[in-house]
Formats: sequence, structure tokens, C-alpha cells
Amino acid sequence: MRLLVHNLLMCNKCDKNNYPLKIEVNKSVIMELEFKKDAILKLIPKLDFEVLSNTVRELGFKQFPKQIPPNVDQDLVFLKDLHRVLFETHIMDGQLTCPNPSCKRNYPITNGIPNMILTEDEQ
Amino acid sequence: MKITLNKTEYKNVYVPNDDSYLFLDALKEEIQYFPQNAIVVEMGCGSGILIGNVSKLLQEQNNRALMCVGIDINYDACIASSRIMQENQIYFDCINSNGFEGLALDKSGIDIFIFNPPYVPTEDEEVERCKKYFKEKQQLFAQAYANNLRGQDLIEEVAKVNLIDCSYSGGKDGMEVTWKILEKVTKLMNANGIIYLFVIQDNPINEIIAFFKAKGFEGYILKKQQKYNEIQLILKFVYNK
Ligand SMILES: C[S@@+](CC[C@H](N)C(=O)[O-])C[C@H]1O[C@@H](n2cnc3c(N)ncnc32)[C@H](O)[C@@H]1O
Ligand SMILES: [Zn+2]
Repeated sequence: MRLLVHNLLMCNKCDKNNYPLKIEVNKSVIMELEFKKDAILKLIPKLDFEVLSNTVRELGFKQFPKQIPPNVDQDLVFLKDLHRVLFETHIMDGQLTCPNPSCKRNYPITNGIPNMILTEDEQ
Repeated sequence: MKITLNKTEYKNVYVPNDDSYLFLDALKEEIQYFPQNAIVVEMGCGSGILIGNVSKLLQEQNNRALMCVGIDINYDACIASSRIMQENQIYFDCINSNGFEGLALDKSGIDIFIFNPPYVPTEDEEVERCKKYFKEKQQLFAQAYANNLRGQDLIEEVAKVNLIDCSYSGGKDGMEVTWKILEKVTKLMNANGIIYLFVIQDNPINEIIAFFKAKGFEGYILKKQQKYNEIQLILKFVYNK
């Protein structure tokens, strides 16, 4: 699972304060992918950037900007960082936790797959 | 793209069949209409044959999708499809989920949606049996996870419950799962987004087309073939937002 996908996941048990899920990583790997400036620029408006930035910084990449830099289409350093974070970093093992304090449901990531399935009584 | 299923996966994961190949033929012809940098989502990706080939073809046309996300209720299918994609160096993410449960796709929306559902009309008994296995598999997963099984050990343990029935059993009209998914996905499509859907003659095709029309989608029949006593069709719906 890549951080790109983390941006798309929420806790379905709750209908508020259920996004973004907290993420804990036990194991991650980098798989290289050709950098395409166009693609990454088109992706930015589709992301919840604040969520992504908080997540990335929580995971230890403290220099990652809190906001999209002003001249983003010229900022190759930033775009390459974003490419690495979104497209090349795969979380193989870890867990996602609902941020709602009254829920805190855990969703495991195992073998690179997040398991978002709820049990019957949770639905 | 080469699909390599091991012995257990061969039993537990939907092995590409006539429906998959008809769907794949249709998608190959359709790729040219896909927007640049699309968000592609497949519900029930199974082995990954459909979304994997789409991702690969887009990549070859220098029109890599922004994301290709496969969703499947069956953990074994998620494991198999992700491995197969890695073996073929295809760009793909898989999520183990029951429909759109746990997905927050509202912001990004979906440009291309692919769905070859469990389409066979089945009796209530069979639907119940599916639900029972589904529940058992989820319990087994939770237990194994709590017992710290990880990696291959976890995969083997979870594979002890076989969810293959869920890949074809469609309940009433073969539409139990399909209606739920269609209801939700029509709310997530971006302007000009396209939905591809596999159906057979036993599914209420006119009702499906009317449903989409009422939601602002224009419908087309892309393919039709007869296999034994099953008439199989690929439908296309374009969102005129
Ligand atoms: C007919 S198979 C299609 C597999 C593959 N796409 C193909 O064409 O070969 C249907 C797939 O849908 C999955 N499925 C069934 N119910 C589901 C649900 N509620 N949510 C997600 N996936 C589901 C099954 O596990 C199975 O992999
Ligand atoms: Zn929650």
C-alpha cells in the first residue's frame, strides 16, 4: 500500500472524525518508478495535501512542506520528493487507526494489503 | 501480462474465464478513450487480469494512470493480484474491502470504473453460505493477526477459508452485490467518467440501463457473446455531468 492510497482511506464505522487514519509503519520498501512531472502535477489537486503532509512528517520526513510550494511546477526538488512519497514508497506492514477517540478501530496492513473489512456488528 | 496463480490461489481466486476475456477485449478497444492521467478503480479485481492489463496498456501508451486501485473482498485475491502485478512490473494498489467500505474517494472522484461482479442468480441459501464463509474468513484473519502471524504464514492461514463462492454468487437476479455497488459508484464518478459493467441475460439489463439513465449516464452495449447457455454482455455508461 502506498501513501497515495492512505489518502483515500477512512474508518467506515464512524461517520465523523474518521479521516485521515493514523498510520504506523513496521516495514516499508521503495520500488522505483519513472518520474513524470506531468502526472504528479495533475495529481496534486486531487489530493488532500494537508493530510498527506501531516502523515509524511509524522513518519519522520520533517522537511516535507506543510503547504504546496508557490511555484510548484518549477520546484523539481519538491516534485521528486512527492513522487518518492506517493508513488515509490510501499508500506508492507503496519496499521491504520481511526482518529476518532471514541473509536480507535485498527485496520491492519499485512503483505502490503490494508484490510478495511468491518464485522457485521460494526456496520 | 502473465497471470500466475499457485495451487491454493487456483482454488481460492477467480481464475480468468470467458467473462474476463470478453471484458478484456472490450477494454483493449476502449483504452483510446481514456482521459490522460485517469483514476482507475476496479471493484472485485480477482487475479487482477482486467485492471492489470489496463494499467499496462496505459503505461505503454505513455498515458500512465494516476492511480489504478483494485478492491476485493477476498484477501487471497488481493495477495495474488498484487504479487502478479509486481512480477509484471505493473503499477497498482490493492485494497481488501467489502465494496467501497473504508474508501474516501469523494475528493479524487473516479474517472474509469471497471466491474465484473458476482453475476450468477443464486438462491438465498447460497447467499447465506457466502456470508458465512466471509465472516469466518474475517474471524480467521483477526485471530491469526492477533497471534502475530505475518507474511507467508498469515497468507496460508487465511487461505484455509475459501471465498470463491463470493466471486460468482449474485443472489436475487444476480444483482445483490451489483446494485449496492452501482448505487454508490454513481455518486463518485467525475464528469465524463466511464463505467464498464459485465452482465448476462438473467440480470435485469433494462432496469440497469434505466437506473443509469436516471442518474445522467448514457448507456451502450460494447460486446455480446454466447457461451453455452449464457449470453454475456459488456455495458458502458458515460457520465454527462
Ligand atoms: C466474477 S469475479 C471477477 C474477477 C476478475 N475481475 C475477472 O474478471 O476475472 C468477481 C470478483 O468480485 C469479488 N467480490 C465479490 N463481492 C465483493 C464485494 N462485496 N466487494 C468487493 N469485491 C467483491 C470476488 O471476490 C471476485 O474476485
Ligand atoms: Zn472509527
